Amino acid sequence: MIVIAAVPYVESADIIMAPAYIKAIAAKHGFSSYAIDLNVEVLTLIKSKPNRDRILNFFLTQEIHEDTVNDIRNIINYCANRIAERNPEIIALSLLTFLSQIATRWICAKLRQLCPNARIVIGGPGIKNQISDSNLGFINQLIELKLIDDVIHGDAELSFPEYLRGNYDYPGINNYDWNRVELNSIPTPDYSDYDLSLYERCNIPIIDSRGCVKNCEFCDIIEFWSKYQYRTADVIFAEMLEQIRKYNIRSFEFRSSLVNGNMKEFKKLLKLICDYNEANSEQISWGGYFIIRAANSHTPELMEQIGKSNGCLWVGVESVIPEIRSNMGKPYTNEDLDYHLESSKKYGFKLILLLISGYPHETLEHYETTKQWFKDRTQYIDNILLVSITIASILPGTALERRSKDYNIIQGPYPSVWINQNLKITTKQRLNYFQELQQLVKDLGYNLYDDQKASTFVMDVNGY
Amino acid sequence: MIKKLRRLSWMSMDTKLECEFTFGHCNGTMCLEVFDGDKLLKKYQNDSLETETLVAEISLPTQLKFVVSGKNYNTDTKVDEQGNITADKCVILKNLKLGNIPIGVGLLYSMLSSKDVYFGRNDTITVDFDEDDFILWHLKNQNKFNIG
Repeated sequence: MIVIAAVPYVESADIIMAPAYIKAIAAKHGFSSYAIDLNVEVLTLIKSKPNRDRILNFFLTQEIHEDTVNDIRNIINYCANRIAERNPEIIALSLLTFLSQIATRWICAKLRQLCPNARIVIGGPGIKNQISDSNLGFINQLIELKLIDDVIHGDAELSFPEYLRGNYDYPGINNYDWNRVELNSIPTPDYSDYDLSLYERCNIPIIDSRGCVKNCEFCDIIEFWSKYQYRTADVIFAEMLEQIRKYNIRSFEFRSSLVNGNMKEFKKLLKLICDYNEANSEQISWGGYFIIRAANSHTPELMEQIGKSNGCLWVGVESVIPEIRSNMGKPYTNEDLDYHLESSKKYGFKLILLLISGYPHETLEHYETTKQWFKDRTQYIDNILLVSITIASILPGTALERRSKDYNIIQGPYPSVWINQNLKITTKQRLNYFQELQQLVKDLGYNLYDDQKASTFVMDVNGY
Repeated sequence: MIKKLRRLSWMSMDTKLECEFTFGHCNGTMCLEVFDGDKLLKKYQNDSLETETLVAEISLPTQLKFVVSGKNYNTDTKVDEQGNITADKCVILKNLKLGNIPIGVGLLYSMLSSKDVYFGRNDTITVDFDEDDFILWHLKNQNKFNIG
């Protein structure tokens, strides 16, 4: 038996696609497997525990409180048992983010006891601290301690079947030269092993593209998937219909950097969804990352279709200061942004605004302008489902990191700790601004995505 | 579904133990016997010993014992004119892992009945693994992975 599991911890009530997707890949090549989303199962287990946050703190920092020892032990053993009870010969652990690394270490230790003969392989973006990070400390530690046997780097569509065939020298298996798959040939994720009732937001994930058509300097996705790839509208819509048939769920979430990278296919997909929604009383809804373009590209007709298709747009606004956006590689105007806000109101679709707080070139005046921008747009609150603000980080392997010297930036020990020496705004000041902006957004009545973890990783800010 | 899957399979299972020793030479090496409770896991008695790794399955809870012997205190330590030790018959416990998890240096010192990883006397040094689940033992003793 092959068991594929998503490892906690991800602070999300959403479906983690990887195990179901890898299961489908294995099945396509004739291998039967069992897929588990351990993250949702663990979150369900501790949901009503009074010490929930302290338990989760263990998975973030490895801090052990006296009142959490037994709970943590139970969680580790629960996860290992869930896998071991299938008597696996191969255990594939998927790490969505680096926050899964602590749990992976402990679960693997237990798995070595329960399944001493199983081969353990890890993969996913979380095997490194950042997607383009060259630091392999976590992987090396696991191998040195004999907690794992193998690592799959990059996308697993081609390498995982080869791994199951025992071809351990294949590109991507214990080496970095992984091969890219043609996206239109990928299989439909198989959620038949999941208990979908556990999810608070049961949106079926769909891969629609990989990479991005933009070249934003702060982004590490484009470093990982350097070439933009998309699936055609017909293929995506066929997958939607297949999943509706299987699970009777009509809400979907596109797992990509943007849904509107290829406008021709995006328009076609919207048309297919709108036609479905017109013909059926139970309608499709969807959400996905979206880039803003000028009104001549995103016409009122397109906006209307987004509304009729029940779309929810995750918009990477990044900054409301035009010159800051332009420098980072997002040269749309504030008029374009307002047009999308206005359209959401007019055509009844929702927006999730994603902002970066304190970008390297932002001045103290820009901070005030940003606050004012939110004050001036409260008329759109009902259509803005969520505002998510993150602290500006300089991620390894990005263009921003490469340009840091030119920008006169000195970097600290963590991606969010740095100082632009031209502006002399310290990390502490930026952190204060971040908190002020969050508070203001909340006070104004916007629904804020309150990411407590954001500040957890800003530790030693002295001197930056 | 979640509750149904809870099991107690961590009970009564052997746990992997890994110890790494370095032997100090002076008129040969010390004899080292490692016991899981009363069960002898391994006896080292060979003058060519350098660095040795013991890998064994032990049943928790247990007391791990290191019995070191064969040292003549009058002859098996050499000291130069300045009083520096130049050769010593001893055993150094370099690493100890329980269930593939390394026991941190600070904890290792505090756990050993000798309070030292340098075994330079004929002695029995003990470590109490007093839980039936190695995960629980590590957690209760605040032993963590190095996450750099």
